[in-house]
Amino acid sequence: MKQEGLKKALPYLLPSFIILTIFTFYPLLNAFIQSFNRLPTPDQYDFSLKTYQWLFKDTTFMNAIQNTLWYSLITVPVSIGISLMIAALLTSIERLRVFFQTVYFLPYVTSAVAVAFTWGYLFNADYGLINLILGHLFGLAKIPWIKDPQYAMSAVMIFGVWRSLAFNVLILTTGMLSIDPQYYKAARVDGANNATSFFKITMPLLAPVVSYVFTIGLINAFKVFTEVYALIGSYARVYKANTMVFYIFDQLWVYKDYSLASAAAVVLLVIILVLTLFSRWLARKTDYNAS
Amino acid sequence: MRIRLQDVTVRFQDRKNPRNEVVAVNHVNLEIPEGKLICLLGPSGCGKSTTLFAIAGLQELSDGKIFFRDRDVTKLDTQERRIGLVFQNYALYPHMTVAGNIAFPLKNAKWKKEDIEARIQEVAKIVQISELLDRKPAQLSGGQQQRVAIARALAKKPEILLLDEPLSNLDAKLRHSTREEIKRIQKATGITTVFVTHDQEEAMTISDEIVIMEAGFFVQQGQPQEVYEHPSNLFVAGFIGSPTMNFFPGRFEDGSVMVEDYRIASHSGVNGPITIGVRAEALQPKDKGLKGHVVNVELLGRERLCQIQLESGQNITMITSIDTQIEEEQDITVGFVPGKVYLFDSESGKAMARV
Repeated sequence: MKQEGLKKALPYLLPSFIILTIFTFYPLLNAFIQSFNRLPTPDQYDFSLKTYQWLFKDTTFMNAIQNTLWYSLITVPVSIGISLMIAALLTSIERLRVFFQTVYFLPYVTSAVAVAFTWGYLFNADYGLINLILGHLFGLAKIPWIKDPQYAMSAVMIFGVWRSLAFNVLILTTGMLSIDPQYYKAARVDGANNATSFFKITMPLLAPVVSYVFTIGLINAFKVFTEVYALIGSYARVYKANTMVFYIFDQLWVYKDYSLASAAAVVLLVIILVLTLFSRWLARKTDYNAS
Repeated sequence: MRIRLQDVTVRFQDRKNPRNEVVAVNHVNLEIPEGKLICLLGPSGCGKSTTLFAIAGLQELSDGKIFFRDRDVTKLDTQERRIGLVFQNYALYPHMTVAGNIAFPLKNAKWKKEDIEARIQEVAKIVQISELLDRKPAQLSGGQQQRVAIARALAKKPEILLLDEPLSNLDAKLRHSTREEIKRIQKATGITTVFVTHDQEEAMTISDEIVIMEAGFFVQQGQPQEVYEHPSNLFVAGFIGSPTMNFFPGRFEDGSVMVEDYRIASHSGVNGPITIGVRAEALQPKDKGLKGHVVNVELLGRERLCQIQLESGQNITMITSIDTQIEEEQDITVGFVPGKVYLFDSESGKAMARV
């Protein structure tokens, strides 16, 4: 019986398995092998840990890790916090909700490169809107957002938060709308005010959704590249705004150092693997139906 | 607490056609006595749940007023009304334990910790869920969830307990025991209790008084037996009682009540058509009456339930004692038991007399 089932399933499973093998598993394995190869050409092989020693001595890489960590730890919670507020406001209106939902989702479907162009103007030191407002409100001097190592990463984070809002707002709004409205009626009868309702009913019931958004956000944040490349450009490392994927990209296409790029990719893979395990633990932890 | 509804009206906008208005509750006046178990009864969509939510303060009124004793609560928010409400699907907070659910209204009311703890034990004892306090709602059966919902509603010592279709989510066996349970809890606490149901049998068996609604209108209020014996109109007569009352097209003719050429009783009235209602148990095989043919006989222990097709083509139901020999496929003449025949105005449906 089991043999029969496998025979039937095989033709359906094979195509995607073959494609995954060629384009995902093989490159993965190859990157892993190459990361231990310190010879200049991929064709010859010489096992050594030199690449990793080299990698962790490289200040640019350490800076990339640092940037990536900060980027992830700041943009993800900030974005989720703002998204929760927007989602709560969206769910509290009935009229025009769909309209605003669409508006908030637009950044998700627009090209990051095109939007970064606009943000480049906003961040412009001399005539950018952001400096204009900051100058007006707080009397701050003009900040060279994207042309200064001190500020470039902050600019990327602001842009990153804005970019990730779209997805988070959509998921969180849907999550909030799927909470049975009876709970809120019951909470009203039970004398809960709006704040209590939000923190004691909405948040616990939304926890699985928040944990999902948090995990996806974290994994995406560790893979951040487009935001950097589109906003700062190819000189990101000069402005100390490079991230791990940016470093991999640089090693691969600018310095043509396959083994170093591979080693960096393996480090990133390990981090994301750990995050995935953490997310599975988090998902179980936040499932209120589990005992 | 005595509840009085004065001219209560609730209008909704039709979702599909916003210019249309649906009147869910239509100028309802009624008074609910203190300390009794009262049932709002009617078919689905009759406005009974809307009425309940209006009393709870979750449904705004379009018109009219609601009084608790002599206090006008129309504009009061639900948490200021001192009511407990049990939702149809219980609406237990799934992320809290049973104890957490019961404690929630008390925490919101800023009770002291010891008092909350004591009150949880107290209500848990009343509804008999003391051993379930640490469980989550998902680990409870439907009947247990129901009890927890009642416990949560009772926690804040409300003066009125409101239940929306409390038994509709339970299976038949549980429904029986749970309705006894509700009656027991009501007796034990003495709290004025209003519950909504569409099941007339449920209403008949547990409530002290029944309020019958139809299409947004108040129809009749009274003790179960009173409503059963003195239905105020055709709707109530047909809705209350199982099997359903038999209706015959009849007429007044020169001081007599007639169905076809069967003279039932003498009663003065303007010559013309009326509707005659007779319950299954008020039909008997007789010499004089309506001729028919027995289609089906069910033996129900003490009685026989007979389906009869009259010569007019109408199907009727008759219940007789088990000793009355009636077989399937036999011809029969069905007569009415005097004093148990209801006369209704055919046009307005209003009850006219019982003969």
